[in-house]
Amino acid sequence: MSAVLVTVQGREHVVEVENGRCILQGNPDASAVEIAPGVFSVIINGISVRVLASRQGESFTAHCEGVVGEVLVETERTRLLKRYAGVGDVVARKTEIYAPMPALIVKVEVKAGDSVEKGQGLVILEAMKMENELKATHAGVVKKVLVEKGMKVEKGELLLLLE
Amino acid sequence: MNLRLRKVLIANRGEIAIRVMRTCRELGIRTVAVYSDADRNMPHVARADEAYRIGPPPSRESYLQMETIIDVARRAGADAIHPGYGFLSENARFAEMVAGAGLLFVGPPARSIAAMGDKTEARRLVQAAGVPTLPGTSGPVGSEADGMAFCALHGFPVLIKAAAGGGGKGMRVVRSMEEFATSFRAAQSEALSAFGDGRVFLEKFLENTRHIEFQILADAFGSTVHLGERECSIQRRHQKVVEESPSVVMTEELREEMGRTAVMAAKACGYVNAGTIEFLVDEDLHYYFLEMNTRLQVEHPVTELCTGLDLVALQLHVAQGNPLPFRQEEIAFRGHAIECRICAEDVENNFMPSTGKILHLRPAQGPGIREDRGVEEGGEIPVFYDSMISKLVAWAPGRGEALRKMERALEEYEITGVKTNIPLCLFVIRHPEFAAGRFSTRFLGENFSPDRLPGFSEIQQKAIALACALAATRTATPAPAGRDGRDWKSARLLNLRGKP
Repeated sequence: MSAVLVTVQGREHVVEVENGRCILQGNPDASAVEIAPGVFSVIINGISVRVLASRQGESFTAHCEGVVGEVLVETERTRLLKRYAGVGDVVARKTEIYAPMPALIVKVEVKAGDSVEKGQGLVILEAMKMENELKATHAGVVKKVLVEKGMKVEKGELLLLLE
Repeated sequence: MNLRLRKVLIANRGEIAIRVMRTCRELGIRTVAVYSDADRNMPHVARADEAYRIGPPPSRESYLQMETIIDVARRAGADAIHPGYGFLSENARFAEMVAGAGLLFVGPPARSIAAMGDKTEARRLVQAAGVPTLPGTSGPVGSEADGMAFCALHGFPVLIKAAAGGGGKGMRVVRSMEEFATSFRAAQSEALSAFGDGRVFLEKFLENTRHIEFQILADAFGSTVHLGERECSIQRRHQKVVEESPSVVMTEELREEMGRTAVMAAKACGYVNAGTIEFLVDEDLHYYFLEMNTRLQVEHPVTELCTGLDLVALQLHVAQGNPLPFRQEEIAFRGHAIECRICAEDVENNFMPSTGKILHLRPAQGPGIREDRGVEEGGEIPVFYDSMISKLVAWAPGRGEALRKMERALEEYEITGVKTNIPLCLFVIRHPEFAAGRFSTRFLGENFSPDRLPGFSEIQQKAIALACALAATRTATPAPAGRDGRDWKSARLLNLRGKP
């Protein structure tokens, strides 16, 4: 038997796994079935909930009646490994800003050496007939700018480095 | 109706192409789709009777290629071209070329499109017909000094607008003389890059206004009617998100007056076919002409649900030279309709478009729900076109019931693979001020921020925890034969940190 730690909106739930069966701690009678790929029917004390869960990289995205949220699924072991490696929510910092989609660079709002605040605009991209601003995920200094106004970029292309 | 058309080419894509095809099919008219390389797999292609490739993905090289599209229509033996909305729908030259090729253009005459397309010309035309407009410059403003003179005369705030087009491009609100020069130049350059025309004009800016538009319909015999209003004040960066009919501020007297004014504006440019007159309405219910959209609107379904009419069928009817089949007093409005535009965008990340493949899609259904959509499960949201996935429309006898129906439908709507603005739509529908009808075009800007979105309830959190634990264990299977399922954690969970 092992346990899975599921974090939903900052709250941790423990699910014990035994021979492929999942038991929610505190609600041992709760039952969940996957009724279609990624679609789950869950019954807890007679309350029926329909959940969509799709894996996205390192976490799950859950949908439930128009609310969407990220869900983290860990075991004690993976959590310890993460802590040990110094990754996780403590130090994760985005220093490389990538294009989220193929787009046209409409404006570069910073230059190398600029100090930026969290939430400050960095680059304006145009895609799908809309202009979109990429913002700094944390305060820092712009180390390098790799694009200029008028350039076309592909999805995942490196735009600038932040420190 | 006495239809002569046998085959119609739809010069558009997505939900509106399918919308037009549905009516054509009901009328026994064959349909011709066109598609770019990005859209070969799209349902508008598979649902048409005939389909032809028109070019590479960018609109400029496909859906905006006038000669290519007309050539396809000719080769396919189509009698008419329906432009939908966007793309070539408000291009006077295209309307002219279609007629020149001996085909019917399912829309207004080219001269009406041209007159209403130039925003200062449109202002002059409707003013002369007695339609109220906001104080503004009589034409494009030649210099900063002229602009500043207007500001000195009328006071701030003032709105700088592009003469050649709408959609928020080249638009700037100016609140003081100090800002004027910078904003003026910025608006000019924005207008130039968006429309190839840097001319701008000025209008007095009203702070707390609603956007209310009237659907009109005109035949070639001088008969023009209105089909009531649509309230479109819920906007984000000048893009409509939620539309409804009737408007909460409307009275029968005001509807009659504004409807009559809308008909006057349409007649001022010799309009034929379906069109929309947009008005700004202030807190004292004074209304001012904003612009005319010389095409079918995205939000036309709310009018269809409240009038019981098929606007596309009526467009085809009058395009063939038939008179309108009813008079103004025969049009009855019933119930309340509300539409949400479901778009592929990330509401928590500055509304960044979300492209990619739709993994799971189960739309809302049931009594009182209409859904117009151009993509299916497994389909992609291409980066080349707009991000709208679906138009979800609810109808009920009253507004309160329609709101509850829409709330239920939004909760029911399932889509994964791309992020959508469903949480934003739910935010609006559930907002007490929206429900009370107390809102203006500033509603979203003033009320919405991602941290105001509700989270999961406690029971939902538990259910999600159990479902995700099951999903994490399930995705590890199938395990190699002879092993039990317990290896899943080493097989998968260690990868949780891995890059997607």
